[in-house]
Amino acid sequence: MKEILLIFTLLTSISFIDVVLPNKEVSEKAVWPTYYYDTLSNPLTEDKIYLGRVLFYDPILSIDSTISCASCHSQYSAFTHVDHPRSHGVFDQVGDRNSPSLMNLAYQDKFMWDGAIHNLDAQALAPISEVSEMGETIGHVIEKLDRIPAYHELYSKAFGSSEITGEKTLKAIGAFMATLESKNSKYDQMMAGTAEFTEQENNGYNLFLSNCAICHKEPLFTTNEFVWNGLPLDTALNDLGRMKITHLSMDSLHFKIPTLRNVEFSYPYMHDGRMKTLRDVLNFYTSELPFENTEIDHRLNQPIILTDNEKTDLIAFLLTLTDKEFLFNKKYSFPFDFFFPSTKDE
Amino acid sequence: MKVFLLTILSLVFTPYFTQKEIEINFEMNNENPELEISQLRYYISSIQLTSNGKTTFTEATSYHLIDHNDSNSTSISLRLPEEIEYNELQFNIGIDSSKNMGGVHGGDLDPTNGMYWTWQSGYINFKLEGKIENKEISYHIGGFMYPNNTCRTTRLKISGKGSNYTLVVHPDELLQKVDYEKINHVMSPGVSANLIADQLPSIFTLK
Ligand code: HEC
Ligand code: HEC
Repeated sequence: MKEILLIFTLLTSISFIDVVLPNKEVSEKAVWPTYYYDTLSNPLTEDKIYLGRVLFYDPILSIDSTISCASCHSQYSAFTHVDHPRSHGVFDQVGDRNSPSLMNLAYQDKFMWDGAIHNLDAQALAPISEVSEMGETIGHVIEKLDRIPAYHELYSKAFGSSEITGEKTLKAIGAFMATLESKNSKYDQMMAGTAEFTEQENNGYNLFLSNCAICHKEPLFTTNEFVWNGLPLDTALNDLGRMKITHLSMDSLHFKIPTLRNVEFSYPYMHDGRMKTLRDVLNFYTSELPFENTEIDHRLNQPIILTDNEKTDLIAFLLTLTDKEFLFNKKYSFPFDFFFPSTKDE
Repeated sequence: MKVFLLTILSLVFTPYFTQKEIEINFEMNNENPELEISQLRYYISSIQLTSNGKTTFTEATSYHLIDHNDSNSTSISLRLPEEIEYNELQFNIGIDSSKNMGGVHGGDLDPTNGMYWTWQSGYINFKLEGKIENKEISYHIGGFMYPNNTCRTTRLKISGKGSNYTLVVHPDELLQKVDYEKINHVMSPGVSANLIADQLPSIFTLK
């Protein structure tokens, strides 16, 4: 017990030093946590991941075969939907929330802005069934897939039998999503000692550590908590966030702290996409934060003060979280070989 | 080497309405209060037999979807060693939290069975849909996280060593205990779902 305590104090003092002095030594701190995703109950095999990838890109999952998961989660924008504040689904219906970017999901325990989903394998059911998204039922999707011989072949490779079931379909999509990892941004390279920040980026990093990192915590850039960051209620949408799930008034307006990795692409920002630029976000944190309101998360109950130049530096740092390898990784992209086998481009 | 002789114990689930067997989808016009049931489905899980409080048999992978619109689903066959003693049958109505935390599963637990919520994850433990006094009722009872865990355990005295038992489920008793005028639609975990879940153990009897 004493040893554990000692290690604990050491760790906390190390991270304290980090806050003051970001440099190469801190890379030890940016240790990735272990997977939350249960790879024992759903082993991540190559064939299963491939099947999941095909399903992710196949509009057959929607009622009129117009919308795939990728319609709202496009790889080139870190698997989010960039052109609309709120997502667009079948028959041009607009949803209530902004589609989040998808990455490092295997490290998360709850999904959606309000944490309605607690298991990545169950996630795909929500968009498939939501009338304003894909408007389908999983039962009907299975019937449609069952009519396509090429799918039987993929299911057989992935699961050892060609029968198509809801469980297999969802587990394959879950497995694909669990592999979406973004770990090679300029920030990661700086931490690993293979790249260096400019003076501006370094300055921005320091500002980030002192104002933001407590919630947007490294290396995931989120603590995966649900909190109220002071964003006022949009009375037209009346979205109370986490309270919808827990029915507890103390969770009113609480939303998941989003990761800031690849934040360059997750605009428009916030759960309802109400802010267009990172500068709008910083203006909100520095001048619109209702920090005197006792309901706001305690980590934001002091005003955040940043000059215009400091805001520019902080944005320069946030842009170092862009991971080109992730955005263009062929492992995650549209599987041409499945959909257009004759025009294989290699 | 010990040889176990297996015997089969069948549990057949049958809905009764004020002492009369009912058929789902069958309108009970001449009964009072008028009750028309279109759907009655629920999960029975973690089946155990006990003898004077000691567990003597636990069914492996014990998750069964009973759907009274599908006569193939309404009986469960337990295979047990012949010499086992028991005087009580115990089972859960619903799916326990740890199974829920484990995500999606197959067979009776496959989400295509319509017993899994989509907008929020978790199994629906018990579904009753129909009309009472011409009012629609729709109870989808589920939830597995504290304080809204709706999986309930029931224990029934079982006598003799028969091979076939009828488990009677009384949806009308549930409706007598629930204020259905006020609570007619329950579609998510919460206070009303807990209230209904609390009544579920007592609507099962062994005949
Ligand atoms: C019509 C647009 C749309 C489609 C199609 C869509 N999504 Fe989403 N997705 C969203 C929105 C909006 C959210 C956030 C919803 C919320 O928080 O309530 C979301 C959230 C998610 C999340 C949670 C991410 C997190 O970090 O919490 C995952 C995972 C996800 N979607 C995967 C998928 C998969 C898999 C599919 C295909 C089966 C899919 N989505 C189809 C719009 C869409
Ligand atoms: C108390 C915890 C907390 C602190 C401190 C905090 N944030 Fe946030 N941040 C959140 C939450 C919660 C959201 C989502 C709110 C919502 O959508 O309703 C968010 C959203 C964001 C977004 C939008 C991301 C997206 O993809 O939509 C950005 C960008 C952001 N924060 C940057 C910052 C910066 C920069 C700082 C420091 C100046 C900071 N945050 C400090 C909790 C915090």
